[in-house]
Amino acid sequence: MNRVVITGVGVINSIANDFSQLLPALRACKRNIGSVSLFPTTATYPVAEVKNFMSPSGYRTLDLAENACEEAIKDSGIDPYAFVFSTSTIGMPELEEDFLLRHEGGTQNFNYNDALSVGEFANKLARKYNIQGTTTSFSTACSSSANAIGYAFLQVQSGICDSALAGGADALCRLTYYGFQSLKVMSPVPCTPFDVNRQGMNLGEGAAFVVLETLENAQRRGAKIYAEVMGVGMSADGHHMSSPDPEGSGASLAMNRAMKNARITVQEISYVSAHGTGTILNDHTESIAINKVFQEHTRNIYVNSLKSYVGHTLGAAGAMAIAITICSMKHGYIPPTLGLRERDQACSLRMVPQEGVDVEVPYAMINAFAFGGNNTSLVLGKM
Amino acid sequence: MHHTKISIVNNEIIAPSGENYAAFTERFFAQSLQGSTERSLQFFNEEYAQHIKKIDNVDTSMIPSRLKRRMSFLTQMMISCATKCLQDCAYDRENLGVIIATGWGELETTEKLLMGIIEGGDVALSPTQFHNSVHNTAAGYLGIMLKVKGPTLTISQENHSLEAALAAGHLLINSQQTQHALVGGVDTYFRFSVLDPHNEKYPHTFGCGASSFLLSRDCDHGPYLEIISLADTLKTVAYASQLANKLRDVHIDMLWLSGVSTPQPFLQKLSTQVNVINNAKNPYYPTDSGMEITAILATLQRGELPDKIEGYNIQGSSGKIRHALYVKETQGIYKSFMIWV
Repeated sequence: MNRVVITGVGVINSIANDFSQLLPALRACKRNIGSVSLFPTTATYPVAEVKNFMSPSGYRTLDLAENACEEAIKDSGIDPYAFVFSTSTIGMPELEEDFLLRHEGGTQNFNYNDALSVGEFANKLARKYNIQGTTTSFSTACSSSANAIGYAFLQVQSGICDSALAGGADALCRLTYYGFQSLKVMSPVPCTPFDVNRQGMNLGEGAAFVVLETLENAQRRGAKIYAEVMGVGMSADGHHMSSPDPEGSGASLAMNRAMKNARITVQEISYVSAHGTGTILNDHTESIAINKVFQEHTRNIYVNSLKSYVGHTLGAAGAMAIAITICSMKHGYIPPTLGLRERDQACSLRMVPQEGVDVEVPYAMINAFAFGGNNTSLVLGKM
Repeated sequence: MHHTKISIVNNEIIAPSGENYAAFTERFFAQSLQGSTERSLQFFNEEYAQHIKKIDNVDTSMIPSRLKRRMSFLTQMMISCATKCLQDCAYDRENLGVIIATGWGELETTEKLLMGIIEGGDVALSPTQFHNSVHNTAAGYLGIMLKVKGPTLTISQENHSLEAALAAGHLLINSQQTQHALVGGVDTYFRFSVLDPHNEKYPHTFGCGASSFLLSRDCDHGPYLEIISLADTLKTVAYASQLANKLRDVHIDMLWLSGVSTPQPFLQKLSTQVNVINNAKNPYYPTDSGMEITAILATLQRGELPDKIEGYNIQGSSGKIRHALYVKETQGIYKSFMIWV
């Protein structure tokens, strides 16, 4: 089995247009969470938009993805052989505009087949980046890109390919904005995951992609190595479509499986990048799950939610957390959960203090959970 | 050649030409698939796939009514097919993964939500409909119904969705992420109501149906599935030699070409020696792939091909069919699997 490392990172979100902008933004506790500007609305729930982003293809999700793919490939210095793409919104922002136009009696030449096919978005990118191997697209809502990177890891580890580009993208649209409102999980203020007064989540948007390759490959060509992907664990709650299992059993199973896959013990993990949406239920059950997995060691592990910076980027969220965790590992800095004033006592975790911590991160765990009780955890190791 | 022993323990299908595997197989071998009505047109025929609307006799009695009333037709059809596939199979829920392939996902639910936004304003959405609009809906409900604890994934890769999901099931088992993988493919006919039916034919989705395949390792009976090659931008020589190396000491009895417009030299050479079933048309989404792979399994089970498959070109001599190579191509994207007994 191959050891698998990350040698390229590309990211775009509400606080950074590329990977190099992440650290200063995190250190400055920057967050651009404000009113929706992408479409007219009377609703006032704030969001984390990518500002001043031009969408040349006309598909916002695709262009966000392209932005991050381009950066990751350039950063790695290789042409990845395989591609694992993910999205949940696809061309929804543009489809909504088309529906509105038609409702008002207009028509336009709109390519529905392009706009609604996850695979077609992936194929467009694969053609552009001359992907020679296979292209696979996941769409598992908020765990999509964690699954994409996990799957790419398994492909490279097993020798199906020696390198892969993997990640995910999602753009803000009405469907998700009003959809999460209907679930009554949107925060009227910038989110404060794990805080006793948290009021829910903020939607975000963006894309994050990484290039994975065999350690052997990377060393042979003298590539810079950000981190090793140690393992992945996937599980299902088998409980409810939109509520997590209150016992956290599915989430804890994913974390345990990731560590087993990584062949490391709970004591070796020093940081967990939580799914941490900021909803009452998610943060509570994730805390239960983390405690179940790490037991007494929980008090030694730093936990934060990166969604307090970039919002919940849905299908891109897992990859986004991985990109930011790579930044943490590289610079030895774990950022705090913004806005966290008083930890909810029901969330018995060691939250990163508000000034952040300058500390080495040998092994980190990243969680991503989704509708349908779909849980994915990954373990990264510092190289 | 090293065979990874991953078996297709069971399979099931809901197709217009047969509401389950037994009926499908019977019709496949009886050659009664061509006919005059819209519902029983030619087997695997492009026209057929385009014009069929919905299959209306799907047995959904196994779905609890509290769940069923929330589910789309697509999800109900997938669950019906998957639960029948799992019936009487030995698997434990802790070690069962679900990988669903869908080309289009829940378009019908999505349209309802979008119409709600347009007509009802900012707060018109149904929370249930919203979480049911994701591509992962069928996999999610399956997980809930079966209390699955393994990975529950959804792959949407156009014409290659089901093939990619089978490859994913194979890899997840091989890399010990799960012991069993229920791989399903599903799509249903759907057309946006906002379109003018007289002037705008597209988009509509193609075909309606579901198929399920239970993959397991450590199972002592076949047929076995092996992923030979996944190559999305074909380098002819590389691909052919890759295949040749892998298949050098394996006797292929049947080559099933799906959408392969111009067989590459290696396939051409192979095709002079074995039974060839060639569907040179462009098969559509998981619905068609499910029918083709199910037909291969039926052929292997029986050991022989029907004399004729409408819409397909069959060459080759008779003989016991034990090893089948399935090659799928769409616009230069290739996937090839070997299935053998």
